[in-house]
Amino acid sequence: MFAYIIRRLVYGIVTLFALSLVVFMLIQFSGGTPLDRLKLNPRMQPVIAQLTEQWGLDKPWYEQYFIWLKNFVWPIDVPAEEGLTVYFGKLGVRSWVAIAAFFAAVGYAIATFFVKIEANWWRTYRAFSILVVGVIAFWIIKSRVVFALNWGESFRGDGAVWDNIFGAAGNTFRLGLTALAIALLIGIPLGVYQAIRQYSFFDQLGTMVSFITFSTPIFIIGVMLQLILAYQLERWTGVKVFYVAGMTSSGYAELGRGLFGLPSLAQLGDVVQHLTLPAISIAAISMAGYSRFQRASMLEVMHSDYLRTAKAKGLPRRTIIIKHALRNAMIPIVTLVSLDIATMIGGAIITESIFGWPGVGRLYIGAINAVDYPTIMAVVLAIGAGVVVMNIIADILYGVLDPRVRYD
Amino acid sequence: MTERPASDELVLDAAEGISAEPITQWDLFVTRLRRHRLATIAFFYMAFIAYVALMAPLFTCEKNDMFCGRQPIQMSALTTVIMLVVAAGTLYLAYRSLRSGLRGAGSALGAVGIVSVLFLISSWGLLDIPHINHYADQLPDDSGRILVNIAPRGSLPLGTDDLGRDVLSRVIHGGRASLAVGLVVGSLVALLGTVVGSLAGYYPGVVDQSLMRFTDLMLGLPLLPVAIVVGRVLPELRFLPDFLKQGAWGIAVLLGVLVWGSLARIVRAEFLSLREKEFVEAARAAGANDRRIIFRHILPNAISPIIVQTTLVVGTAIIIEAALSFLGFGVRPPIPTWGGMASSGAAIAVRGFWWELVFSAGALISTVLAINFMGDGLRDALDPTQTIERK
Repeated sequence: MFAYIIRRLVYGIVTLFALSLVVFMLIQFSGGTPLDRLKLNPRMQPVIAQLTEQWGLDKPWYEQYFIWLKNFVWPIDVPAEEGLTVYFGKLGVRSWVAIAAFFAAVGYAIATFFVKIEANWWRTYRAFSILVVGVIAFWIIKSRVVFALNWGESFRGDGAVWDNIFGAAGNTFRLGLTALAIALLIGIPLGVYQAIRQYSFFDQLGTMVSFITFSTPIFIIGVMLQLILAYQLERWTGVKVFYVAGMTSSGYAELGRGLFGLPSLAQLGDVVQHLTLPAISIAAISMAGYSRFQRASMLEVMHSDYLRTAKAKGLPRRTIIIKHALRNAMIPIVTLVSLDIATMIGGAIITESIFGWPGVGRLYIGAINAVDYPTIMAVVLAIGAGVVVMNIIADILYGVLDPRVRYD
Repeated sequence: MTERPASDELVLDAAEGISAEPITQWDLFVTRLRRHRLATIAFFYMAFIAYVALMAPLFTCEKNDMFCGRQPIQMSALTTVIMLVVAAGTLYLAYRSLRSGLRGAGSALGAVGIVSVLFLISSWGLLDIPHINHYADQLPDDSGRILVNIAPRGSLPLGTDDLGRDVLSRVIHGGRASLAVGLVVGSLVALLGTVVGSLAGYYPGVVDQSLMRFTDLMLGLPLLPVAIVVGRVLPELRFLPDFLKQGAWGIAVLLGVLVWGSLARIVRAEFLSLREKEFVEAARAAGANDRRIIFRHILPNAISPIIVQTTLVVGTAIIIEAALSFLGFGVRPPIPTWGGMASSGAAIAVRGFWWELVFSAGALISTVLAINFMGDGLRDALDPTQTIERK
């Protein structure tokens, strides 16, 4: 299983490499440059020349790519007294070993393209390379070699890309986790209830509604929520219940402080007023998916032999449903949820731009419009890494929950 | 719902001498599909949508003020001929399938054929984009004022938008983008997914490993962010031919290239299990070569998951295209798309002009819904082992 995870991680890294290369080439070949809007002003000529020089925009695209790549993932030694403060230059022996190990791992992945897995020497090599990667990983951690993670400066003049993304990621997680909680807490019980009362009116209705929701694009849900639950509700009741944009009101700080530096009740209420609609719009489609999936998997379990045995033993219905059926019917949905988190991040791009939520998605849209490629690359790779990691976690969880699953 | 299995019905019919023809797998499939009422309705709905989108120049006008036909409709001669032929064929086949109640295999095949041909032609019409610019024209009233944000009424059934353009025309033309995406993504996914999946499933070892690693790579891409980047740079890419840069074609090809991974995995799994079956062994013993085994023995048995998965992927792709257009990275205005109309409609819906948003969203949702119902019905009909437990 350890070998399996390592292999998946290596494939993930190769995927991210390919992703970064493709995206970089696309941006380069599109002809737009981040300085296009400055060109409108003739007095900007020296500034443009300076920025072109500074950002290396006059170099050929592959050179630009390697500069970017070097800054993005170059491992460097960090003296203990500097902590995690990252600086350039000075590559120690350990870094070179780490780089060599990295390329050995990549070579391992590429070799799998051409080698029959059954070969004997291949097994030896596999065991050996996993051992090497493990030792190197230990060494890196021990010796405080860190990856530079210098994601560059934003071309829009708003600071380091890393800081921007780190700040925005918190906001996106606030939105995404709320949405996930809503989807799980409503979707799964809904599916279970539908399965228990199969072909009842409620079941038919639920199936129909979730089918329709599933076929509805996320932006239509978002826009409709804004129109109905924010604008129209305010028009009818005269009370502002939900806000359509932003994370907090402008007077958020004046709403008072709660105990121990926690937000006050008024502040919490304000946050909920802002958070509800975007969270629902992300959650709705996942919720429909979960309830359909949960219903199907619950029905499959309910028709299984061991459940009939449980019934025949005379166990109470509640015990049968909760202890025997539900626990087994939850296994597939764990995988679904892990994979869905990546989709939710994608959905968050649309929702954030509708609701003006200052998260990664809106950062991304802004960067795309300004051809700000350090930010574009960083966001794409961060989301890509999220997809890779969530895929691996889904596989691991599946194996942990269902002992019949074997890795090869 | 207590109903007899579909096969019983046919067997009974045959026993009573109503149907003298032998019952084929295809008959069973059609009967099962017809049993799924929503899917049947969805089929006809899709045919309708495709028909309307295809015939868009007939229903709407080259200039909006000739909605009442003051100017002749301008179409290329070829478009006219093809449209007339397809229209005649559609009517004839619709008549036949209605009469036989979709019983005969021929008419069912015809119905599927019509839908695909309509898909093909309607999206082909998109190539005419430079000529179809009437949706940029505004609709003046008798005194020459531009009719902006007119609510739905008799002469303007769906109203006008904030630039005074007829919403009905734009909804009809907007369907072309979605259908082009449906067609291109459907065929690309079916082609790439089947080829990659069957090669990987049939030839173990190097071929399997390298193809599946590549598939994993494609599946690992974050779909929406990548699609946004490509959609953003698509009109500016230097090496692309013009027709891929504007309109829905480029977006459609892009989505098709991105989303075939799941189908390839499914096809590979099918091939892996079918490869070991006795009938394949028998074929091999009889001296069949690889090509014959793949095309004549394995592929026909793997066709149902291919169709079902392709249908589902098409639904997703149409949603993604709409989302791209909504965000402004898909088909660019003034070319109408349902996603783009939802975007501009949302901006004016705040002021109470709800119609553009509601009608474009309605068209989009109902189309995706119909495709998903079709997928549902096809799954039930094509997979005899999966008994529909609707008791």
